[in-house]
Amino acid sequence: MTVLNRPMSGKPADPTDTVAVRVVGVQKIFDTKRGRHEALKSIDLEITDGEFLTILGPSGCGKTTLLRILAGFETPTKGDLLLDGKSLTNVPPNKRPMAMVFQSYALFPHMTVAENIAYGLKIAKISKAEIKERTDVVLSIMDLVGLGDRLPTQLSGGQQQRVALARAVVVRPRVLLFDEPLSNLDARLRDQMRSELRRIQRQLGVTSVYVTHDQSEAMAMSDRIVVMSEGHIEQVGTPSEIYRQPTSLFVADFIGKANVLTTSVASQSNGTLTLNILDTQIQLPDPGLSSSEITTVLRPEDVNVSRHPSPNDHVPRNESGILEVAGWLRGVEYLGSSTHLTIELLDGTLLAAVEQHTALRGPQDLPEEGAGVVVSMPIAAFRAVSAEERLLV
Amino acid sequence: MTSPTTVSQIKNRNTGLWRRIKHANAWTAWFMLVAMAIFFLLPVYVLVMNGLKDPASAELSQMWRPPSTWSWGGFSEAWERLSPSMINSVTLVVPATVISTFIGSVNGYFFAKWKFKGSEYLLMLLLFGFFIPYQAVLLPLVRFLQWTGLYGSVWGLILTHVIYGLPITTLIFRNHFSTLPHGLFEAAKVDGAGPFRTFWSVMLPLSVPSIVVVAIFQFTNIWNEFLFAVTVVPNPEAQPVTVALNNLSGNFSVDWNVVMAGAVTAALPTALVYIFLGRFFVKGVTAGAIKG
Repeated sequence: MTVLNRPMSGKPADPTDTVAVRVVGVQKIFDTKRGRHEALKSIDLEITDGEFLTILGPSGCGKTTLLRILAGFETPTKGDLLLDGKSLTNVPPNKRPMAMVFQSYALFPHMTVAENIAYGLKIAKISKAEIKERTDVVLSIMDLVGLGDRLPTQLSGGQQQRVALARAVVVRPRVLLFDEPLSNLDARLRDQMRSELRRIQRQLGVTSVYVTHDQSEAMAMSDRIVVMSEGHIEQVGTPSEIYRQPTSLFVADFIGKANVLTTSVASQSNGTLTLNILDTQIQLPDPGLSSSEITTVLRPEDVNVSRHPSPNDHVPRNESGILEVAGWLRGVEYLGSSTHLTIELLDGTLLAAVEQHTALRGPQDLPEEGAGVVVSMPIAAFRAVSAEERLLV
Repeated sequence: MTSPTTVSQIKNRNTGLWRRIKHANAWTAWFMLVAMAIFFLLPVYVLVMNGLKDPASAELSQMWRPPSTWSWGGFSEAWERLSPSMINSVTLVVPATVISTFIGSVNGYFFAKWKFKGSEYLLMLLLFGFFIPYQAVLLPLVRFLQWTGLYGSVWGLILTHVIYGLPITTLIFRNHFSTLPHGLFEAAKVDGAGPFRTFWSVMLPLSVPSIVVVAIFQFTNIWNEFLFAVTVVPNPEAQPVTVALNNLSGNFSVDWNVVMAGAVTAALPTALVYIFLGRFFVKGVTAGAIKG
């Protein structure tokens, strides 16, 4: 592996590592025919050396603009980019030590696979012998041995994808940029390439920034995820932080499924929030939100459903860390590995629940549609989040 | 008139009537095409037939008839009198075509891929050159060439044609480069290629069809051009073939067989260029090359 830039290492990025890229107050305004469009609103971000960072968000959230600013295809209206402490503002794309895997792959159609891969090395005036050696190494890493003399048109989509990745890593970039590289593949190939890509990134240890709108892709691959919406960063965190401790309703809703429960604040003191919820009260640690805009989210897998003969007589209970509320089972969707349930609580609130199945516990053990049920939810699973108006789209 | 339903019924049943109608249409189309081809080839027929006659029988009353006695005299005399100016034409047309195609491709590349403030207006100004008739610029052109010392030389004529060709060559290349996927251009940049390297190693190799189209267009136009040629180069020794061809009929008596043979000879190079490069007209190099 001496040909590649780093020794093999399977370890995920260490948070104490140095910062590779620092994004400081980057703003981007596009002047369009219909007026000014603020694509990015003062973004601050630190990308750690060697980490796999995913920028996730719906279309139009500014994630691609941010990536293109990193690559140098767009210049920020305000703010600065620092790579290893040095400003990139006046460095054109062809002088930045970065490589990019494009959504369209952008392979040169008149060059063979080997020529495509060697293009950047040739420009860097690397000796012919070394170009050959390095090209051969990436061809074998990418499982493309024997395809070096083909033209890109003679390859399958997955192979083209791997050539695009090979071309990006062979130049030993300081930062590797990915612009939704898997979105042109079919579902099966996408899953396969996903783990392949992650494996190669770990192997090379190259700092990577990956843009996608696919939340499962982001969850599966990333060391950290940046969730963006409407030109600003909603939350930055590890996949489990993003999923388990969302800080906004937008994040909770965008990543996975979430039950959103109407909440009002009863009291707020000493880092504890007391909330009125479902005709009872619960206490949660205060994430430091202003009280006027708080709502509570709960993942469907934290909702346990059991049969109850007369839900109308049931009184909501909050005992030993479990909240119990009664209702009626309104929908049952069997999906093989799990069943999705919809419960209508007595006050009319709709709640989603997921029951995982095993050989021992199947759909036959669940209440039937229309049955009276009681749902029990661990208080620790509730999460208070900010619920600003504009996020309730 | 038959209603649509009836027509589709007939079509579906594939009755004898419908087959006959289809056949009749094919025959009509074929007949019309042949008739048009004959019509368009008539001048060529007249040129070749009269070029192969002896001087006495090449006259107006017999122009439609094939020669009674075949004679190569017309062609050999035409070649003798035209060959020096054919060489002049080649030394004019080849550099003028190469230079104007090259400059047009560079222009088109920058107008398509390196847009800068005001580049669209600059392009519009450049394209304005289309609409300036040759006659309108003759006097300033001659004064300019006299001032630069290029008047009377083939280089003056080359310069004139290169400049007059810029609007069309730039436009064709700009349109072509804007159809090339922007990703290729950005991929080259990310790989470290500067503007000219990107042009040379990525954009130009993907432009072979456009280069051929522009080159054929420029070759034909410059080869056939007469007005600039006769104005800018007054010296008969240096004049291109279009002017020399005109001079074949310049004296007291006209040998029509020589003139006709001369016209065929002068037209031959452009025809050959088209025959040999024409297949590139239809061939697309980048077609379907980007995605799998």
